[in-house]
Amino acid sequence: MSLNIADRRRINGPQRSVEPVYTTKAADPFATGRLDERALDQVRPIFIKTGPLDAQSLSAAAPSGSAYYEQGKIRVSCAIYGPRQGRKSNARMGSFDCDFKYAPFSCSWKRSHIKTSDEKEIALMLENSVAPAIRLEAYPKASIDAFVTVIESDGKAATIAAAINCISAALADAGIELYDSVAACSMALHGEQWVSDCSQAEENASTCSLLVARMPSADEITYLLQHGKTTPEQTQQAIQTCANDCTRVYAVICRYLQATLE
Amino acid sequence: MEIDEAPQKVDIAARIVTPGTAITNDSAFMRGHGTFSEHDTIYSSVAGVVERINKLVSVRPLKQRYSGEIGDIIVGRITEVASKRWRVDVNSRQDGVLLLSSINLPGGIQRRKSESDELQMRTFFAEGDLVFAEVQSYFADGALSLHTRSIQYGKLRNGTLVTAFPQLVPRSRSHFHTLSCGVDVVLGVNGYIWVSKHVPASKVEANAELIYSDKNEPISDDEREAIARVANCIQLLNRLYVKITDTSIIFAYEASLVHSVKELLTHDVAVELAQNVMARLEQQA
Repeated sequence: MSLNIADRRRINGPQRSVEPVYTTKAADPFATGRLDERALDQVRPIFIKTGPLDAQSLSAAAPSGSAYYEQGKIRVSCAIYGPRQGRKSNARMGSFDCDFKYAPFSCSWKRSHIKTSDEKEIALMLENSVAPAIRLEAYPKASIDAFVTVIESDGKAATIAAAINCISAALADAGIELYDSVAACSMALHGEQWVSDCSQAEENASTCSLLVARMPSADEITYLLQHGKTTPEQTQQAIQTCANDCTRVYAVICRYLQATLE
Repeated sequence: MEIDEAPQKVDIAARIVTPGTAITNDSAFMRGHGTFSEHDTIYSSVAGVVERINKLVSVRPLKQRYSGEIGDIIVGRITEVASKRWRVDVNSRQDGVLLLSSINLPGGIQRRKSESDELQMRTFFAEGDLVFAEVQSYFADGALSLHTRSIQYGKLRNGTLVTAFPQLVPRSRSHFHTLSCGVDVVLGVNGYIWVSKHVPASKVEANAELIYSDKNEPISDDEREAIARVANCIQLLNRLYVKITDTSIIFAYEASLVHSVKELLTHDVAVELAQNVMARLEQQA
């Protein structure tokens, strides 16, 4: 976003920033197995912590639930406010709103402080993936707001999947009624081979990416996003594999929630 | 319907479940809070512990939004002034409603509500004011209807608000306490707690005209320090999940006197004091 709007509130870095030029060439992502030595169908290790944003001081503005989620190098944090008074006073069902923001330092180039259309689009994606899992008819006239911040990003589809998982953990932390936790996973197509949970370098080297968000106990897919061109058989196969990966991620989230309750 | 269900009953209670876990498919059970049913199976809708009381199955999560009961004493903040009512933030799913007909009008409880009262609602409560009220009933959509029809309820002043988890404030006979250090504490069951300078009850009753005044009493530095100390004590009880009652606040206050008011917010001092309070509470019980 290199418009000539001067942001006078902050001490700004240069308007345009470029990565430094390295003398050694960056390694080819798929030359000899994957760069971090994972199997082709292996998801990056996950770390979850719920409740990091609980009230530490006298503030009444603390979120009802929060979660911090890491998957490999991806770091995402989510705060849930609600259920609280909604804006429409005649609504039969509660409303779920999502707000998504990349921190300016989260990608390998500097992002703007102002929300871009990309972030607004991802916010709608997150809403569509997670809203089916919430029992909104139990919260008439109330609104549930999720605020997601990406602290570090590594692979666009993988970061969106991480955001969905983070929101699921935060909703469970807030005690909001759900049909099921939503678990999401991403894949990318490299040549003829689908590779699970790709990092940014691997995604740049691939031709297509797929994101699946799923409720495993209900065995329902809530969101499906594909970027790129494939044959129907390839997509079919990918959805199956990705759905299995989602179940694995779901198991991690559930195990963590059970451990915190003990 | 099976008569002998003893083994199954032992199984389902006290289980830790996550959203979407099937609890039971026995149609004899009724489902309570935190569950939903589909095709004769009861599933959990929150991450929590399964509780069973006779035939009622429910799941209790760690954190729950405050949901009011009739007779609850609460502290709320006015968010909106609407036609003949105020909307009050009570830390619940919906804002509570304080009707103009549910408040004490200055000049005596018996005074009839007039049209000019309706036009001057902000002279009673304006947006941002804190109100000490009791839950009278529910509206059809579940919003709480509040009232302040007693001399002890009404607008709060001379102090500071502390928020705590609603589960930590037990319902008891009295929610207004005067501590020995000259500080009044109002324990709202919705988690909003008001800590203020002690004003003798006789003074409050004498000034019936000033019940909606926005002017604070003069508060000395020592009184401010006492208020800050009590507020920090409540905050540390909240952080370490200790029940907030007048007894626990007094124990925490006494144990905190060796530290400066600021130190009470540090993690080490907070843990030490909370353990001290829990030990004394156990001794007493």
